[in-house]
Amino acid sequence: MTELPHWSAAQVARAIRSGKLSAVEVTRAALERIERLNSQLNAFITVTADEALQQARAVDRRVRAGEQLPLAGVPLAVKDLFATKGVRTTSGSKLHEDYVPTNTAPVVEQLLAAGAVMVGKTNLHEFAFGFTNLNPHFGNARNPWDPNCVTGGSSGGSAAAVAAGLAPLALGTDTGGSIRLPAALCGHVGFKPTLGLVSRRGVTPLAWTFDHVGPMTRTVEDAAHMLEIMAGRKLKSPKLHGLRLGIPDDYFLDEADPEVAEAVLAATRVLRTLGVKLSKVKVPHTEIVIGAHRAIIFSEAAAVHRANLRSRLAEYGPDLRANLLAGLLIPAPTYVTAQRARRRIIAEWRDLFGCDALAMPTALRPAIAFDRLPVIRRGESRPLARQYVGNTCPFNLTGQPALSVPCGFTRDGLPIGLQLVGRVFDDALVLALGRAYQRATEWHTTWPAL
Amino acid sequence: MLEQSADTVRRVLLEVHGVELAAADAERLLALHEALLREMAPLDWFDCGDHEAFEAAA
Repeated sequence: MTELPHWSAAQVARAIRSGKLSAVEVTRAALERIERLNSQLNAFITVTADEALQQARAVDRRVRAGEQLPLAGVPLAVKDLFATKGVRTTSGSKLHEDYVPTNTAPVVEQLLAAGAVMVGKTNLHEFAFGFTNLNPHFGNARNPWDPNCVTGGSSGGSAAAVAAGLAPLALGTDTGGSIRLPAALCGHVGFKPTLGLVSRRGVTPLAWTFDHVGPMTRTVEDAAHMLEIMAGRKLKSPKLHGLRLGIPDDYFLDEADPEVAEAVLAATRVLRTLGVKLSKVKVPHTEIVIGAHRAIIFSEAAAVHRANLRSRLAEYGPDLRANLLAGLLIPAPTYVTAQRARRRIIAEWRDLFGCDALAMPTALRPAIAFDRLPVIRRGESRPLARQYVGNTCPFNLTGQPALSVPCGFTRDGLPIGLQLVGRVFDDALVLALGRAYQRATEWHTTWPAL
Repeated sequence: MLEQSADTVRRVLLEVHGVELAAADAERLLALHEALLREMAPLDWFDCGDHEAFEAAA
């Protein structure tokens, strides 16, 4: 039997429901591990030790009273973008550093009602607008596989927490890849559900067109379970035999780091041994996906923050300040054209080109070291944006469900993620594919040395 | 098209949006702005595909 911090949520909940462990014991163990490792990883902005122990005692009472809680006593890390009543919710910003909400986001309430215990609020890129999780106000989240490397973002603290065994479940948000990218760079599972499946109420907006809420976990089984609770519906597991898996090349694969491409193609061969049929597909309009995504996310984020940009500009960090002001400079016709282009992409990608799902790298390269992050200069492009969110943001445009699941390591020991994408509301199929892949592989059972 | 310069960017932000940007921040913003314009450029010639419906409606 593995040690407690490495247990899945399903294992923890079973042990607590059966009386082998109490929620208080599990919570104390999680809090001790956070106490030991958070200074190294900076995964949490706020640790809610007292509230967590109170919640754990309540869970133990409910279990003793005979309630069958699906997440009984499972430690939950919540991205600090979700409102939590009585617990400050910073959105990773100076602007909200003292904000204490009077209500809790419904998805958090649903998970707590199912027995989860919130152990803290996790670090993020300021206001979730960025993919490195560098944070000038609360410090950078650090990758458990190499603390000199980024976690990816914007849900980098949630990713570090799951990867380091600080909590088996975490909540993230994804507007261009903010669940899937950090999950890939930190070596665990991240799922962006179909747009609209999970409530975004009580979550600080980044860009209304693209914002998604989703689970971050070690196992796909836990992600599916968490999604069922958040979406309030059961997922039906489809049969995988004969399922058609498309592998788009060119845009999605050609510029990948060779180790990443090799691991992803090897993963598709594993899926073939499970009865899945592989085929190459050509995806149209990839030349405009990044432009359309950028026009919409930058414009909408600028609209969210417009009033504060006038009156509180100095309180934004330099990275976010530049992003938001750049959004103000995007012409309105470009935004409108991007929305019209998005509509065409949705229509033409809806059926996944005759496939049931697509497979590709989540990110084109593994985690980058902090001291190698490029500085943007006039006349230069942004290659890291292409490498990190070029494969994820297209599915924020389409709203299709997309999963990142660990599929290997580089020679330097950094995790690699496989992205599986399905049709809108085919979330169960995507998760079934990922679950079958994890049953056939052991990448998710390898832990960083901490 | 306005000439791309840090001063132009600062002027547009102030006059159109009421945002006063420090000169030190303008170069960084200009670099990002230009990179975004390049990324968004393919939208300029993308066929959004609903001309027929538009003409029918007209």
